[in-house]
Amino acid sequence: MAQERFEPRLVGFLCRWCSYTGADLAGTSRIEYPANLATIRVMCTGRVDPTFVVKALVDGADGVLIAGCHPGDCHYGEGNYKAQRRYWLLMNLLLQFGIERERVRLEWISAAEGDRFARVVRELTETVRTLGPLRWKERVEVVA
Amino acid sequence: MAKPKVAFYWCASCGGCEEAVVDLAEGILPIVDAVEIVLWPVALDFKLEDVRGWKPGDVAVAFINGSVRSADHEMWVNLLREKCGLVVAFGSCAHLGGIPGLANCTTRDRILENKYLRAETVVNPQSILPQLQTRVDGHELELPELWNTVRRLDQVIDVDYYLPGCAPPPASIATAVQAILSGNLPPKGSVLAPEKSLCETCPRNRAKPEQFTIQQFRRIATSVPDPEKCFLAEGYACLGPATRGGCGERCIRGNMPCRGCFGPTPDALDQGTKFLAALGAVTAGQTQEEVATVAATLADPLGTLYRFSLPSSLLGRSVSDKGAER
Amino acid sequence: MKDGNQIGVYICHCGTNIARTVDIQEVAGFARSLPGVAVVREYKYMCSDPGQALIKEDIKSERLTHVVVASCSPLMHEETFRGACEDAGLNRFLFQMSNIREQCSWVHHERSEATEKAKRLIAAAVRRVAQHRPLLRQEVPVRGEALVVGAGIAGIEAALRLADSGRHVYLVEKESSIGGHMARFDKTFPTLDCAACILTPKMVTVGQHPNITLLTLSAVEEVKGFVGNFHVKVHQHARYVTADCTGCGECEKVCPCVHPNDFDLLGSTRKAIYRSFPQAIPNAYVIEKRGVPMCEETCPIHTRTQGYVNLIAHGDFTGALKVIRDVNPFPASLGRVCHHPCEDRCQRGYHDESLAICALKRFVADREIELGLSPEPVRPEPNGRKVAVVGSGPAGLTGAYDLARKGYAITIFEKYGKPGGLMRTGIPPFRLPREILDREVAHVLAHGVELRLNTPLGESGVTIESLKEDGFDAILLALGTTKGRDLGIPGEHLVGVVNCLDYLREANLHDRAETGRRVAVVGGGNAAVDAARTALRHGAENVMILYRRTREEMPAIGAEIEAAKHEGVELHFLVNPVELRVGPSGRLNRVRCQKMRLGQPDEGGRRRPIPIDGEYVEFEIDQVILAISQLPDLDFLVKDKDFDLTKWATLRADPYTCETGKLGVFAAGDAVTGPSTVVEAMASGRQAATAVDLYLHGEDLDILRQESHRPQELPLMDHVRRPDLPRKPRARIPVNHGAGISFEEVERTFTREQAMEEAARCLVCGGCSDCRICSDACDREAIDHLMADTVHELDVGAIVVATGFEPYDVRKLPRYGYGRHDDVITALEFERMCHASGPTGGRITTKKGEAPKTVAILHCIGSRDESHLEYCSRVCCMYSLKFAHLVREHTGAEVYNFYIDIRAFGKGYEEFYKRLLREGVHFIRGKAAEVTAVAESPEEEGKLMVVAEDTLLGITRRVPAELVILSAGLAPRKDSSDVAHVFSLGCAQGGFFLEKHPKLAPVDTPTEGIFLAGACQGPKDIPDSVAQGSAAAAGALVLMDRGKVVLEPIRAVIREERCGGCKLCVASCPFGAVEYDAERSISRVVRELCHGCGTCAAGCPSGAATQENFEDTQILAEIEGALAV
Repeated sequence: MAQERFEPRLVGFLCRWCSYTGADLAGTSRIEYPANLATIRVMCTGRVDPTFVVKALVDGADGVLIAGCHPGDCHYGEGNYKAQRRYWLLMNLLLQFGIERERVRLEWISAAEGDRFARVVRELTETVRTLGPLRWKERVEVVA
Repeated sequence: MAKPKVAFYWCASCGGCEEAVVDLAEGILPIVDAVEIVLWPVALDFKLEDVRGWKPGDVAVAFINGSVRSADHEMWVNLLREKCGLVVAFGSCAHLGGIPGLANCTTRDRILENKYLRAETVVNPQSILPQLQTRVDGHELELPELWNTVRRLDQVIDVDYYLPGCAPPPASIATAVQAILSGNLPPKGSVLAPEKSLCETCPRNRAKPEQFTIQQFRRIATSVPDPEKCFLAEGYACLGPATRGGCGERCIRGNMPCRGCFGPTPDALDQGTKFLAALGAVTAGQTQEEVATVAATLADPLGTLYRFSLPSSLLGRSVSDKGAER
Repeated sequence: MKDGNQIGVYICHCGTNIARTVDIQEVAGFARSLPGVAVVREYKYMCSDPGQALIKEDIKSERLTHVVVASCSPLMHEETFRGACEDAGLNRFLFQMSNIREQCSWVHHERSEATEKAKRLIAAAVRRVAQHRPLLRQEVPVRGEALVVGAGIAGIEAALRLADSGRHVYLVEKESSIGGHMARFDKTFPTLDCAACILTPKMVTVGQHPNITLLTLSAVEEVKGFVGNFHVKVHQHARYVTADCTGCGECEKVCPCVHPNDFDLLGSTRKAIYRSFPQAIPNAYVIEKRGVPMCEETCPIHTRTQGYVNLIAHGDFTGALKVIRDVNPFPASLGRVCHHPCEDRCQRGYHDESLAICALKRFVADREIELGLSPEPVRPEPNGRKVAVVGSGPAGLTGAYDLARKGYAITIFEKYGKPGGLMRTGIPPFRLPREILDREVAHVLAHGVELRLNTPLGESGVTIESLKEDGFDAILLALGTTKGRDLGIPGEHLVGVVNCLDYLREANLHDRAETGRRVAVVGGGNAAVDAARTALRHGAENVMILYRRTREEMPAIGAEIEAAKHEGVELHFLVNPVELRVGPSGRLNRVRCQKMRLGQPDEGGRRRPIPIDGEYVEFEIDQVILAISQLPDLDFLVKDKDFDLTKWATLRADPYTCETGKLGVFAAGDAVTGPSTVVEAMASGRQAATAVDLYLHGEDLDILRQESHRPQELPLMDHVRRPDLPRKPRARIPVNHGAGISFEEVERTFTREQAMEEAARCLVCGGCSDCRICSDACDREAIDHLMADTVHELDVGAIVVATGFEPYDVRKLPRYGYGRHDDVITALEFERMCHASGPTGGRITTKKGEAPKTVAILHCIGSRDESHLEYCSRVCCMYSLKFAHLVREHTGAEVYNFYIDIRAFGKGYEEFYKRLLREGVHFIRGKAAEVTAVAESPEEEGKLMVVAEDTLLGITRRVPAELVILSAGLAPRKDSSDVAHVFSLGCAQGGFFLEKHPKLAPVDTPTEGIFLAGACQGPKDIPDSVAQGSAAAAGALVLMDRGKVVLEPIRAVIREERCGGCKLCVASCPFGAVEYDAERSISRVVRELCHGCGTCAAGCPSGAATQENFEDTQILAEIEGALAV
């Protein structure tokens, strides 16, 4: 029987000024990319609490994207730097939980980089597809 | 009228919570006067059959400490839930999973292996591991099954109140018991402790600067903290900001950073990630390299951020058996 | 999920934009199944009136509690639908939008996938909205002033529109004049009307407009606040010319400093005081000052070196001398004996050899003497105060000079019979002829200074008390050093051992010095060398200098040491005298020296000499002159307990204010600092004089304690602008060894020509040489060389950014030969070339000055090129056509345009192209590949060849051209990223600022209240830039006329009842909007300062902080929803 292709479920937290606008630009420029990512708009990547990322993973996301303005371009000066610091602390923590670093990605995508946004979504989708499903709740049950 | 009946029970526990009760010292006398202790394994003899014999509601309240990690624990807590009017999760282990909860960063098999085969002090030539059933001179012996995942009490049975702390400070035990006896109880599910974080009452909070940067994290194991200064500002991962107050700052006064035994504040969904989020504002680094370097100096984040609350964390446990290693 | 929710979900087809790829019916069915959803409707165009009407009716009839619209991006229509909710009486924030067009139907082609994703997005929105709560928007007033940044044509247009509608406008321009690139153009396409003719009137209006404050030479440093209430910091560089300037240009005529003209290009030049172009606004001149050059910085008395050097270069020797005498009464003397630190870090030295500054000083001074001129003393009205100066050395005389020029009555008291201090008693006449010294001392005295000779400080002369009694308001002690230091070795007091100071004094004052046959001078300073050379002149047969370090460490001036060697003085290094011995005759005949080696450097940086045990050397001598060090003679003074000594036995005085222990008594010179050079002593005297002046005006002397700015190297000058000329050698008197080296001066001075040539080598790295003769030339007194930069703090309601572009640097495409071939020029250079007021006066010519017979115009240089600028510059086709026309018109030359495509899209552009075809311009379709001078055939010899593939003929063509014009593309300004950062703008195409919407909001930016105009947003021609200028102005006016803006309620909130006061939010806020209340141990958000980024909410470890409309519960619900499907 034909092997059903695994479609990762991804959640993306996009800053309103750069990355969300960039994602819209990908749309207005009709740049196609996989439909696996559902985006959530925040004012700044500085608003992205690692709790959100973990919550997404627990609720069934196979991967998470955090995208904001390029360093130095943050609409609020330094929100993206704080996001980056939280990101690396979180990465080390997730490793101990047995979650691969590649599942959670931090990217700088400007409002002009619609193509870049599309590329990042493509890459993340592929990466997570090769990693396979996370299905956190089930896995925790299984090892329970 | 008859004195209300009270039961104390322990699951995966270190006995510290029992100590805490004893630590009430004279304070225990009025309680003993006021109530009838019908079950207290650490102090009184008892028979399982007797407990099975209780009628539901016979016993006013059960104080259960320790986390739940075996079939035997499960049986006991269900039994007590059935027989007792109120169940109070007593201490960090019952409340959050506690120190035993750290077992969730690896697997049962790994634990048994370490305990019975690998540990340096073990001599076990035939590599015998605990068996659920064994026959010894014709007798069938049973061992309760050890779970792979440690649970906090309310992940197994319905819990009415929580008395946090490792161990709960005598003062809050006394007030809790008084409240229950007097019958003026807070809403079900309440944690019997303040809702603000430890910083509010921390003697060092005034000394804490409004702006500071952590260039690298320090550990009490390898350096001695300044007894006046804010631990966090000095680079020690003090969980105070992400932890309920009410403990009496016992650790702080012992020049020990808060390790989070009172658990998260009511609005924090996950004690560890919330604290981690806060660190983002005060750790150093701009470039990826700098940031990664600083982050790497926080040794064993899982053990540090969830020392008492791993089973209560959103993720609950590690799916690798190497969670303890960094 | 709250119960009793009545959520309405509205799904938009957006025509077929969404419906084509998203199965609306299926999605609608799904939406109905979601908890809390009461109504689901779909419609062709939800944003249309009927669409909105659907929502409004349901809100009323179905009593909806929340609304979700699934359509385009919220950045597009969120406000529209919020408005609809509000109209129907539902709080506008009980609404959530789901982006199923830009982020779904437009990017996913597989219908099933797009449909599934739409479901997820809607589910997320529904869960989120259920958590929404009503919020109120805050209204804030909008300020009436506007800021326009950049005064090119776009900025000018915007500023005028705003100003004409009665708003006050601050117009900030980086350059010294407004006008931008357009001001440099000759004609404008396609109408060929002259750029100046249409631009100048607008510029003039800007200059005169009562509503416009023009800030040129300015840059915006910081923008704070938010729409309607921006607080802006503008840094304005000093122009050094005040508004009184009429632009007469007299200053320009006299200015000696020539620099390349960056406005006119083509190798043309301008002065350091200049005006970019005749119609400049403001019409005032401007001075280019690049900072304090090292020669001035390192000069102890801070002589404006480049000032006099450049005046010399232009033959204004009197002017030069005036510049020197502003700070220095001894040009002729210093011109001879100065140790000239000014020459050490001269930028010319980086290219070939540093300037002979000292010799130039001497030249002008000597010339004055030659011509028998005498300097005019500066004698202001006496101010009635008397100052006594004790000591007539360089320190004392300089102090007297300064104070006299300030109107004080000065009396100098001198111990010896002649004035000059060590300049006379120490420095021999063959270095500093007496008549020179006398003359310059006389000049000081000519300032009405009284000199009392043979009047030492002490019983035999004057005392501090006696001077006070005599009515002196202040006393300046410049006692100098008159005692030699002893070696402290056996034999030191034998006959034949003499101290250098005494020896030189005898020789120099009375011309009789007892000198032996074999003389050893001990020491390595100037005094030692002078003594040695003097001894030779007083008949010594053999003179040796004994020094305990090496030549490296010798403090004496290098040239003097060379001269001494030249005259036959033996130098012995690393020897330290330990004993002076007598011979059989009983007279001194040997000096025994310890051999030394060098150890670690001391605090002074000189390596310390260390004795080598047991190694000695002896020299046969009959006289020893000790020139180790010198001390002041203060025995008398220290009887007064108000005066005391330092551990170096010098007089203690405040290093900044020169005050001694006694009120009104100041001290300077070697007596305080220890032995130093003439110019250092002068500096010390000046410092004391300044202090005395302040003291007598009752001012606070502490201002003297402010540290002067640290010397810093100026950016290197491009030395190509000056031909390399080695330093002029100067004539020397031939030396005959042995007897009778004359007392005549050794070094001669420059000739006039030598001096002017040498001076011309100055690179004027200071930009302006600070000679200040322009000040004299300006009868409006409009020039202020001491003008300081200013920082303006402005409050404005709206900002228009119009910072323009810069032409692409064609040097990045070497194959076109720019910089290698003179006759390859850029478009901008051509604009200037055919401009009537340009460098060639409008003549189109080759470098040789001939009119070209063939001209090649290369389109798209740097544009439409993957490895340079990907995009089309939008103007180069048209201006290249314009060039072609102008060349034909001016010269009738054959013109070849090499193009990829002709893009003539604008009004009248195509017609212009047709016209050019008729005018017989050759059009070759094919981008030029290279411009080369390498001939492939005899007839190509000596010609520039343009190589290109003619894509119409399908052949490669080699076209000879006498003039090649590179039509460079338009690039973002180099500083665009900094500008973007200041105004928090986004960038695209490598630096062009990002508009809010490419079609519907081309001049808005994502930041409300900040607008874009002109080429800073993307390449543009003049009409488009003007149109954008007006549009941006209109945008700003809309805000101001509305008078108030409503702020999104997205501010952070800290719930007191949950805040433990951990202060981490204070640290996390980039705007300082969170304050900690120590009393109540809680933190609080200052709403006005909060920008709503939510960083504190994310970072609050106890969850007490949250963000309106972005609460944890709302975002968490959205996450659940997005994953629930």
